[in-house]
Amino acid sequence: MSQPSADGVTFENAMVELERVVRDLEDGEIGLEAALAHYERGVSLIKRCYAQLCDAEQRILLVTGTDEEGKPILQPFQHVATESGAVEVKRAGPRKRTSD
Amino acid sequence: MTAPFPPDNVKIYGIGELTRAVKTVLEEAFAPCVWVSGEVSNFKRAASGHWYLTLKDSESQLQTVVYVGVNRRLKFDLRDGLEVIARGRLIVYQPRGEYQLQVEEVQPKGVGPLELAFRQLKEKLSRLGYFDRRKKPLPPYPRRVALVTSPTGAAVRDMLETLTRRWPLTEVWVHPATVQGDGAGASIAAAIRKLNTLPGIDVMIVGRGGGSLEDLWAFNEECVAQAVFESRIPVVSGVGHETDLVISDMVADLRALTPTDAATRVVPDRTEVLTWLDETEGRLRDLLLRRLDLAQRRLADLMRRRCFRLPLERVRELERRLDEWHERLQRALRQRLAELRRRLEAQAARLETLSPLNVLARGYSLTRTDGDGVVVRTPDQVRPGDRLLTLVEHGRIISRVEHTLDSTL
Repeated sequence: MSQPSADGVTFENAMVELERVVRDLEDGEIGLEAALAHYERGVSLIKRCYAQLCDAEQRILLVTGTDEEGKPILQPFQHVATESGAVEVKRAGPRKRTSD
Repeated sequence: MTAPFPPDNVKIYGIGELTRAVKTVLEEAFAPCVWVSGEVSNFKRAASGHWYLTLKDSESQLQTVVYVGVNRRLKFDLRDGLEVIARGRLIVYQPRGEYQLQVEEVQPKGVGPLELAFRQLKEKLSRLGYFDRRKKPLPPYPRRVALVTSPTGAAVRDMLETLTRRWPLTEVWVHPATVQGDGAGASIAAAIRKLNTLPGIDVMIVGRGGGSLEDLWAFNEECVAQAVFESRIPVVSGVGHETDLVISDMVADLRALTPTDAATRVVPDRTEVLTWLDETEGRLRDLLLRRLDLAQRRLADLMRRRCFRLPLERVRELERRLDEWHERLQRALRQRLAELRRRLEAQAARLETLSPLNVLARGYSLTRTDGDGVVVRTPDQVRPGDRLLTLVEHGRIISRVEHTLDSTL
């Protein structure tokens, strides 16, 4: 899960802010100093999004039930295929389909 | 002469006895089962759960019962006017001496039972407004995606593969459900409801891989439609192959063609987002450079202005004005000094006329005692022998008193 980064900014919020920064800069109404600040903010947001995307490792969990407080009981999910052999689900890149 | 009634040698039946006999004959004649075709009318559901109806054609009617154990298995609803083919046992209901068909299996005529069930549920849900509601939008970057599907098999694997490849930032929760066979609909509906009680789920996929219409049937059940309809979490339905259309597809916030398609639709593509980020970085740089360029051009415009081209002109002008003021100030000061001098001279002249020396010049003198310098105004101020100091025009006279006289003038 894309945990919010240390300062609590989620990927979605970062993207939304980035779009706004670009729009503001496109408007051309802002002063030179503000434009510089916008640029720096934009670049830092891009770096953050980049890092989040590149470091991300998918977590896959099986919901096995809920406890007395209604909180989910989760365990790592290992996919066991009923056909075409076992499939390892935790991995980085795409892999070839064996069937549909 | 009348013949005896009843004639001799006839067997007289009791009603029960006759009915029993008819029952035996009739039931044996149509054993073990009979197939009939007709139109449903007078359809009633009894409190017991049994269904009572009449099957009819243009000539006759047949009392018919579908016991609860049989009708519970039916996917579609019997209703008046429906043409059906039924298989059952013909039995005689002894207390009333009536015969009826006890249905063991019934199917609509001219259309598959599942097809009919699908049509009927679709009509019903349409009446309830299930298809007209506003669809919930899917979050652009979901942080947690839940899958309601079988934890084994190709569908879950395809979905996980797609999610991992496209958007590894998403956490995936797999909620297992039975997706085929008895109780599958209830299992799926329960999973959807359960997930709605859990926190942080941005979107869920309900689905399974391809199969026959029977295999996919759970997704056509009313309980699933209702759970999807009531879900506060957006639901994407991805069932079977592209050509399969099930009720959950129509009720869901988004219909995907397959489970893989569903996974594709719920998350963005990492590669595309990375490309966008790349482009955006370049765009930001261009925009900043353009802004800098603009600032430079404005600066250049300003530099071309007169005040910057002849920077000392203004200074010279100020200097000139300063000099003028300086001159005026000096002139004013000189005039003031001259005036003051004039006034001083006038005062001095006036003072001159008042000076006692002027009085001496006119022949008067001033006499003071020699010791304490008191001005002598009357004779009784002095005694004979006292030294006097008398001031006259060109000097002083020291004298001694001979004697004093009172004024006799």
